[in-house]
Amino acid sequence: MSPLTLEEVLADIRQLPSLPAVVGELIRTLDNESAGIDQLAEGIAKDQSLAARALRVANSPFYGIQHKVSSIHDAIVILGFRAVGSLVMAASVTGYFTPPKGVPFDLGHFWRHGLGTALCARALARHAGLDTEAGFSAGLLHDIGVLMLLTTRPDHYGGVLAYREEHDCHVPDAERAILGFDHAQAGEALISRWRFPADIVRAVAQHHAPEGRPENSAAASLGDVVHVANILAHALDLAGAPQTLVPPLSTAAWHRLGLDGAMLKAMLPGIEQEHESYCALLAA
Amino acid sequence: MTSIHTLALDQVTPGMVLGVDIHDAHGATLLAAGTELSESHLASLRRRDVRQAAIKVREILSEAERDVRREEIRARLRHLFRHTGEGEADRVLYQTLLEYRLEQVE
Repeated sequence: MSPLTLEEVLADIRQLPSLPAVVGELIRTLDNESAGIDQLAEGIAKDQSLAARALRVANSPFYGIQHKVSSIHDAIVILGFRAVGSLVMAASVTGYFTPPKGVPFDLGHFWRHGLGTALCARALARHAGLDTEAGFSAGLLHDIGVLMLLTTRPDHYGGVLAYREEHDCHVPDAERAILGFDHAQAGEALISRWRFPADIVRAVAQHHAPEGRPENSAAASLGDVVHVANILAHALDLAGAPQTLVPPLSTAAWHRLGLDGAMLKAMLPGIEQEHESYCALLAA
Repeated sequence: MTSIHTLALDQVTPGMVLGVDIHDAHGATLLAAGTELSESHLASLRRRDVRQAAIKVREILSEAERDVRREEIRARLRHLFRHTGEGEADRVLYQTLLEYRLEQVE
Protein backbone atom coordinates (compact mmCIF):
# COMPACT_ATOMS: atom_id res chain seq x y z
CA MET A 1 0.00 0.00 0.00
CA SER A 2 1.53 3.34 -1.04
CA PRO A 3 1.66 6.11 1.57
CA LEU A 4 -1.16 8.64 1.69
CA THR A 5 -0.51 12.38 1.62
CA LEU A 6 -2.62 15.25 2.87
CA GLU A 7 -2.68 16.52 -0.75
CA GLU A 8 -4.41 13.31 -1.81
CA VAL A 9 -6.94 13.76 0.98
CA LEU A 10 -7.63 17.31 -0.25
CA ALA A 11 -8.16 15.89 -3.74
CA ASP A 12 -10.57 13.28 -2.27
CA ILE A 13 -12.51 16.11 -0.62
CA ARG A 14 -12.86 17.98 -3.92
CA GLN A 15 -14.34 14.82 -5.47
CA LEU A 16 -17.01 14.34 -2.79
CA PRO A 17 -20.60 15.05 -3.90
CA SER A 18 -21.92 18.36 -2.59
CA LEU A 19 -24.12 18.55 0.50
CA PRO A 20 -27.92 18.85 0.14
CA ALA A 21 -28.95 22.50 -0.28
CA VAL A 22 -30.90 22.60 3.01
CA VAL A 23 -27.78 21.51 4.90
CA GLY A 24 -25.82 24.33 3.30
CA GLU A 25 -28.48 26.73 4.53
CA LEU A 26 -28.32 25.26 8.02
CA ILE A 27 -24.54 25.75 8.03
CA ARG A 28 -24.94 29.40 7.02
CA THR A 29 -27.35 30.02 9.91
CA LEU A 30 -24.52 29.07 12.31
CA ASP A 31 -22.83 32.33 11.44
CA ASN A 32 -25.86 34.48 12.25
CA GLU A 33 -27.86 35.12 15.37
CA SER A 34 -29.78 32.27 16.94
CA ALA A 35 -33.05 33.44 15.33
CA GLY A 36 -31.89 31.95 12.03
CA ILE A 37 -31.72 28.45 13.45
CA ASP A 38 -35.11 28.79 15.13
CA GLN A 39 -36.67 29.92 11.89
CA LEU A 40 -35.12 27.12 9.96
CA ALA A 41 -36.11 24.53 12.56
CA GLU A 42 -39.65 25.86 12.30
CA GLY A 43 -39.42 25.51 8.54
CA ILE A 44 -38.23 21.93 8.94
CA ALA A 45 -41.10 21.14 11.31
CA LYS A 46 -43.76 22.62 8.99
CA ASP A 47 -42.56 20.95 5.81
CA GLN A 48 -43.63 17.29 6.01
CA SER A 49 -41.24 15.87 3.44
CA LEU A 50 -38.34 17.94 4.72
CA ALA A 51 -39.14 16.83 8.26
CA ALA A 52 -39.20 13.19 7.18
CA ARG A 53 -35.88 13.60 5.40
CA ALA A 54 -34.33 15.43 8.34
CA LEU A 55 -35.49 12.72 10.73
CA ARG A 56 -34.20 9.98 8.48
CA VAL A 57 -30.85 11.71 8.50
CA ALA A 58 -31.00 12.41 12.22
CA ASN A 59 -31.73 8.76 12.90
CA SER A 60 -29.44 7.18 10.36
CA PRO A 61 -26.08 7.24 12.11
CA PHE A 62 -27.44 6.27 15.49
CA TYR A 63 -27.63 2.56 16.16
CA GLY A 64 -28.73 -0.01 18.64
CA ILE A 65 -31.41 1.22 21.07
CA GLN A 66 -35.18 0.72 20.96
CA HIS A 67 -36.29 4.36 20.71
CA LYS A 68 -36.05 6.31 17.47
CA VAL A 69 -37.09 9.91 16.93
CA SER A 70 -40.44 9.59 15.20
CA SER A 71 -41.28 13.25 14.61
CA ILE A 72 -39.66 16.68 14.72
CA HIS A 73 -42.30 17.42 17.35
CA ASP A 74 -40.97 14.62 19.61
CA ALA A 75 -37.42 15.81 19.11
CA ILE A 76 -38.33 19.41 19.96
CA VAL A 77 -40.35 18.41 23.03
CA ILE A 78 -37.44 16.47 24.47
CA LEU A 79 -34.45 18.50 23.27
CA GLY A 80 -35.77 22.03 22.75
CA PHE A 81 -35.96 24.02 19.55
CA ARG A 82 -32.48 25.41 18.95
CA ALA A 83 -30.88 22.10 19.83
CA VAL A 84 -32.88 20.37 17.09
CA GLY A 85 -31.68 22.91 14.50
CA SER A 86 -28.02 22.29 15.33
CA LEU A 87 -28.59 18.57 15.60
CA VAL A 88 -30.27 18.24 12.20
CA MET A 89 -27.44 20.22 10.63
CA ALA A 90 -24.68 18.19 12.25
CA ALA A 91 -26.44 14.85 11.71
CA SER A 92 -26.89 15.66 8.02
CA VAL A 93 -23.21 16.41 7.65
CA THR A 94 -22.03 13.39 9.58
CA GLY A 95 -24.68 11.02 8.16
CA TYR A 96 -23.13 11.81 4.79
CA PHE A 97 -20.39 9.20 5.38
CA THR A 98 -21.01 5.47 5.57
CA PRO A 99 -17.83 3.64 6.56
CA PRO A 100 -17.36 0.34 4.72
CA LYS A 101 -18.10 -2.96 6.44
CA GLY A 102 -15.12 -5.03 7.50
CA VAL A 103 -13.20 -2.18 9.18
CA PRO A 104 -13.10 -2.80 12.95
CA PHE A 105 -14.79 0.48 13.90
CA ASP A 106 -17.83 0.92 16.16
CA LEU A 107 -20.08 3.69 14.83
CA GLY A 108 -22.27 3.50 17.96
CA HIS A 109 -19.28 4.40 20.17
CA PHE A 110 -18.29 7.11 17.70
CA TRP A 111 -21.71 8.78 17.90
CA ARG A 112 -22.07 8.45 21.65
CA HIS A 113 -18.70 10.20 21.98
CA GLY A 114 -19.63 12.87 19.40
CA LEU A 115 -22.88 13.67 21.23
CA GLY A 116 -21.06 13.64 24.56
CA THR A 117 -18.45 16.09 23.28
CA ALA A 118 -21.21 18.31 21.83
CA LEU A 119 -23.00 18.44 25.21
CA CYS A 120 -19.76 19.05 27.15
CA ALA A 121 -18.88 21.82 24.66
CA ARG A 122 -22.28 23.43 25.08
CA ALA A 123 -21.88 23.47 28.89
CA LEU A 124 -18.30 24.79 28.68
CA ALA A 125 -19.25 27.46 26.11
CA ARG A 126 -22.07 28.62 28.41
CA HIS A 127 -19.59 28.81 31.30
CA ALA A 128 -17.08 30.82 29.19
CA GLY A 129 -19.70 33.15 27.70
CA LEU A 130 -19.20 31.79 24.15
CA ASP A 131 -21.88 30.76 21.61
CA THR A 132 -23.41 27.53 22.97
CA GLU A 133 -24.76 26.26 19.62
CA ALA A 134 -21.42 26.85 17.86
CA GLY A 135 -19.88 24.83 20.70
CA PHE A 136 -22.45 22.05 20.25
CA SER A 137 -21.88 21.87 16.47
CA ALA A 138 -18.09 21.99 16.71
CA GLY A 139 -18.22 19.30 19.42
CA LEU A 140 -20.43 17.03 17.34
CA LEU A 141 -18.17 17.46 14.30
CA HIS A 142 -14.75 17.44 15.97
CA ASP A 143 -13.87 13.90 14.81
CA ILE A 144 -15.47 14.11 11.35
CA GLY A 145 -12.01 13.69 9.84
CA VAL A 146 -11.92 10.15 11.27
CA LEU A 147 -15.20 9.28 9.56
CA MET A 148 -14.09 10.77 6.27
CA LEU A 149 -10.71 8.99 6.22
CA LEU A 150 -12.36 5.73 7.24
CA THR A 151 -14.84 6.04 4.36
CA THR A 152 -12.61 7.39 1.60
CA ARG A 153 -9.39 5.51 2.53
CA PRO A 154 -10.45 2.40 4.47
CA ASP A 155 -7.20 0.48 3.82
CA HIS A 156 -4.99 3.27 5.16
CA TYR A 157 -7.28 3.99 8.09
CA GLY A 158 -7.50 0.28 8.88
CA GLY A 159 -3.72 0.48 9.31
CA VAL A 160 -4.16 3.37 11.76
CA LEU A 161 -6.69 1.41 13.83
CA ALA A 162 -4.39 -1.65 13.92
CA TYR A 163 -1.41 0.49 15.00
CA ARG A 164 -3.46 2.17 17.75
CA GLU A 165 -4.65 -1.20 19.02
CA GLU A 166 -1.14 -2.67 19.01
CA HIS A 167 0.53 0.30 20.79
CA ASP A 168 -2.49 1.37 22.89
CA CYS A 169 -1.60 4.95 21.96
CA HIS A 170 -3.65 8.11 21.32
CA VAL A 171 -5.42 8.17 17.93
CA PRO A 172 -3.54 11.25 16.52
CA ASP A 173 -0.20 9.55 17.36
CA ALA A 174 -1.25 6.46 15.40
CA GLU A 175 -2.41 8.65 12.50
CA ARG A 176 0.84 10.60 12.37
CA ALA A 177 2.86 7.37 12.51
CA ILE A 178 0.93 5.71 9.66
CA LEU A 179 -0.35 8.65 7.57
CA GLY A 180 1.94 11.55 8.49
CA PHE A 181 -1.04 13.78 9.38
CA ASP A 182 -4.02 13.50 11.72
CA HIS A 183 -7.83 13.58 11.64
CA ALA A 184 -7.96 17.17 12.92
CA GLN A 185 -6.17 18.32 9.75
CA ALA A 186 -8.42 16.19 7.53
CA GLY A 187 -11.54 17.45 9.34
CA GLU A 188 -10.38 21.07 9.04
CA ALA A 189 -9.94 20.70 5.27
CA LEU A 190 -13.34 19.04 4.89
CA ILE A 191 -15.49 21.46 6.84
CA SER A 192 -13.72 24.52 5.49
CA ARG A 193 -14.58 23.18 2.00
CA TRP A 194 -18.18 22.97 3.22
CA ARG A 195 -18.01 26.64 4.28
CA PHE A 196 -18.52 26.22 7.99
CA PRO A 197 -17.91 29.40 10.00
CA ALA A 198 -14.21 30.06 10.56
CA ASP A 199 -14.37 29.68 14.37
CA ILE A 200 -15.85 26.16 14.04
CA VAL A 201 -13.21 25.20 11.44
CA ARG A 202 -10.46 26.44 13.79
CA ALA A 203 -11.97 24.62 16.76
CA VAL A 204 -12.02 21.30 14.86
CA ALA A 205 -8.44 21.90 13.64
CA GLN A 206 -7.12 22.65 17.14
CA HIS A 207 -9.01 20.15 19.25
CA HIS A 208 -5.85 18.17 20.08
CA ALA A 209 -3.49 21.19 20.20
CA PRO A 210 -5.23 24.34 21.46
CA GLU A 211 -1.86 25.95 22.27
CA GLY A 212 -0.83 25.97 18.63
CA ARG A 213 -3.06 28.89 17.81
CA PRO A 214 -1.28 31.92 16.40
CA GLU A 215 -2.85 34.62 18.54
CA ASN A 216 -1.38 34.26 22.00
CA SER A 217 -4.35 35.72 23.79
CA ALA A 218 -5.69 35.21 27.27
CA ALA A 219 -9.29 34.99 26.04
CA ALA A 220 -10.97 31.60 25.72
CA SER A 221 -11.74 30.42 22.18
CA LEU A 222 -14.10 27.83 20.74
CA GLY A 223 -10.93 25.74 20.19
CA ASP A 224 -10.33 25.67 23.95
CA VAL A 225 -13.95 24.66 24.49
CA VAL A 226 -13.79 21.73 22.06
CA HIS A 227 -10.35 20.63 23.34
CA VAL A 228 -11.59 20.37 26.93
CA ALA A 229 -14.99 18.99 25.85
CA ASN A 230 -13.42 16.09 23.95
CA ILE A 231 -11.26 15.16 26.95
CA LEU A 232 -14.12 15.57 29.41
CA ALA A 233 -16.38 13.33 27.28
CA HIS A 234 -13.65 10.65 27.37
CA ALA A 235 -13.13 11.12 31.13
CA LEU A 236 -16.90 10.70 31.67
CA ASP A 237 -16.71 7.48 29.63
CA LEU A 238 -19.66 8.63 27.50
CA ALA A 239 -18.74 6.54 24.43
CA GLY A 240 -19.09 3.32 26.44
CA ALA A 241 -16.03 1.96 24.60
CA PRO A 242 -13.72 -0.37 26.60
CA GLN A 243 -10.51 0.98 24.97
CA THR A 244 -11.26 4.68 25.73
CA LEU A 245 -8.12 6.66 26.52
CA VAL A 246 -8.22 10.18 28.02
CA PRO A 247 -5.90 12.49 26.01
CA PRO A 248 -3.60 15.00 27.75
CA LEU A 249 -5.38 18.18 28.82
CA SER A 250 -3.89 21.60 28.03
CA THR A 251 -3.42 23.53 31.27
CA ALA A 252 -3.39 26.78 29.24
CA ALA A 253 -6.82 26.02 27.70
CA TRP A 254 -8.15 24.98 31.12
CA HIS A 255 -7.09 28.34 32.61
CA ARG A 256 -8.35 30.38 29.65
CA LEU A 257 -11.78 28.80 30.24
CA GLY A 258 -11.55 29.84 33.90
CA LEU A 259 -12.22 26.31 35.17
CA ASP A 260 -11.58 24.69 38.51
CA GLY A 261 -12.51 21.31 39.95
CA ALA A 262 -15.59 22.48 41.84
CA MET A 263 -17.06 24.30 38.81
CA LEU A 264 -16.42 21.32 36.60
CA LYS A 265 -17.99 18.91 39.08
CA ALA A 266 -21.13 21.05 39.19
CA MET A 267 -21.54 20.66 35.39
CA LEU A 268 -21.22 16.88 35.31
CA PRO A 269 -24.69 15.69 36.45
CA GLY A 270 -26.42 17.90 33.85
CA ILE A 271 -24.13 16.67 31.07
CA GLU A 272 -24.70 13.01 31.98
CA GLN A 273 -28.47 13.48 32.16
CA GLU A 274 -28.61 15.26 28.80
CA HIS A 275 -26.41 12.61 27.24
CA GLU A 276 -28.75 9.86 28.42
CA SER A 277 -31.72 11.72 27.02
CA TYR A 278 -30.08 12.47 23.64
CA CYS A 279 -28.83 8.91 23.23
CA ALA A 280 -32.20 7.40 24.12
CA LEU A 281 -33.96 9.73 21.72
CA LEU A 282 -31.48 9.28 18.90
CA ALA A 283 -30.85 5.60 19.57
CA ALA A 284 -27.09 6.18 19.84
CA MET B 1 -27.05 5.85 43.68
CA THR B 2 -29.32 7.10 40.93
CA SER B 3 -29.48 6.49 37.20
CA ILE B 4 -31.81 7.78 34.47
CA HIS B 5 -33.94 5.62 32.19
CA THR B 6 -36.15 6.71 29.31
CA LEU B 7 -39.65 5.18 29.50
CA ALA B 8 -42.65 5.31 27.19
CA LEU B 9 -45.20 7.68 28.75
CA ASP B 10 -47.73 4.88 29.37
CA GLN B 11 -45.15 3.14 31.61
CA VAL B 12 -44.64 6.26 33.73
CA THR B 13 -46.66 6.29 36.96
CA PRO B 14 -47.37 9.08 39.49
CA GLY B 15 -44.58 9.47 42.07
CA MET B 16 -41.78 8.84 39.57
CA VAL B 17 -39.17 11.63 39.41
CA LEU B 18 -38.28 13.30 36.11
CA GLY B 19 -34.57 12.95 35.23
CA VAL B 20 -34.43 15.46 32.33
CA ASP B 21 -36.38 18.66 31.53
CA ILE B 22 -39.36 18.40 29.16
CA HIS B 23 -39.80 21.35 26.74
CA ASP B 24 -42.76 22.58 24.69
CA ALA B 25 -42.57 23.19 20.94
CA HIS B 26 -41.09 26.67 21.50
CA GLY B 27 -38.29 25.51 23.76
CA ALA B 28 -39.89 26.67 27.02
CA THR B 29 -39.51 24.24 29.92
CA LEU B 30 -42.80 22.48 30.75
CA LEU B 31 -41.48 20.37 33.61
CA ALA B 32 -38.03 20.58 35.15
CA ALA B 33 -35.75 17.66 36.00
CA GLY B 34 -36.37 16.63 39.63
CA THR B 35 -40.16 17.13 39.43
CA GLU B 36 -42.15 14.37 41.16
CA LEU B 37 -44.78 13.52 38.56
CA SER B 38 -48.44 13.68 39.58
CA GLU B 39 -51.47 12.29 37.71
CA SER B 40 -52.25 15.81 36.46
CA HIS B 41 -48.69 16.26 35.15
CA LEU B 42 -49.08 12.99 33.26
CA ALA B 43 -52.47 14.01 31.87
CA SER B 44 -50.98 17.30 30.67
CA LEU B 45 -48.08 15.48 28.96
CA ARG B 46 -50.55 13.10 27.26
CA ARG B 47 -52.61 16.09 26.02
CA ARG B 48 -49.45 17.57 24.53
CA ASP B 49 -48.71 14.28 22.80
CA VAL B 50 -45.45 13.72 24.69
CA ARG B 51 -44.61 10.04 24.22
CA GLN B 52 -41.68 9.42 26.52
CA ALA B 53 -40.00 10.75 29.63
CA ALA B 54 -36.61 10.22 31.29
CA ILE B 55 -37.14 8.94 34.84
CA LYS B 56 -34.68 8.99 37.73
CA VAL B 57 -34.26 5.60 39.38
CA ARG B 58 -32.67 5.16 42.81
CA GLU B 59 -30.83 1.92 43.54
CA ILE B 60 -30.37 0.74 47.12
CA LEU B 61 -26.95 -0.88 47.61
CA SER B 62 -25.58 -2.66 50.68
CA GLU B 63 -22.27 -1.45 52.19
CA ALA B 64 -20.46 -4.45 50.65
CA GLU B 65 -21.96 -3.70 47.23
CA ARG B 66 -20.88 -0.06 47.58
CA ASP B 67 -17.30 -1.19 48.33
CA VAL B 68 -17.28 -3.30 45.18
CA ARG B 69 -18.68 -0.38 43.19
CA ARG B 70 -16.02 2.02 44.57
CA GLU B 71 -13.24 -0.37 43.58
CA GLU B 72 -14.72 -0.70 40.06
CA ILE B 73 -14.80 3.11 39.77
CA ARG B 74 -11.14 3.46 40.79
CA ALA B 75 -10.07 0.71 38.39
CA ARG B 76 -12.02 2.17 35.46
CA LEU B 77 -10.65 5.68 36.03
CA ARG B 78 -7.07 4.34 36.27
CA HIS B 79 -7.69 2.59 32.95
CA LEU B 80 -9.21 5.68 31.25
CA PHE B 81 -6.33 7.89 32.43
CA ARG B 82 -3.59 5.28 31.72
CA HIS B 83 -1.69 7.47 29.20
CA THR B 84 -2.80 10.94 30.14
CA GLY B 85 -0.44 13.89 30.73
CA GLU B 86 1.01 14.92 34.08
CA GLY B 87 0.11 18.60 33.95
CA GLU B 88 -1.86 20.52 36.54
CA ALA B 89 -5.13 20.32 34.57
CA ASP B 90 -4.76 16.56 34.03
CA ARG B 91 -4.47 16.02 37.79
CA VAL B 92 -7.44 18.27 38.61
CA LEU B 93 -9.57 16.49 35.99
CA TYR B 94 -8.72 13.03 37.35
CA GLN B 95 -9.35 14.09 40.95
CA THR B 96 -12.67 15.75 40.03
CA LEU B 97 -13.92 12.66 38.19
CA LEU B 98 -12.86 10.40 41.07
CA GLU B 99 -14.72 12.52 43.66
CA TYR B 100 -17.78 12.82 41.41
CA ARG B 101 -18.01 9.07 40.78
CA LEU B 102 -17.46 8.16 44.44
CA GLU B 103 -20.14 10.65 45.57
CA GLN B 104 -22.58 8.99 43.15
CA VAL B 105 -22.21 5.76 45.14
CA GLU B 106 -23.29 7.38 48.43
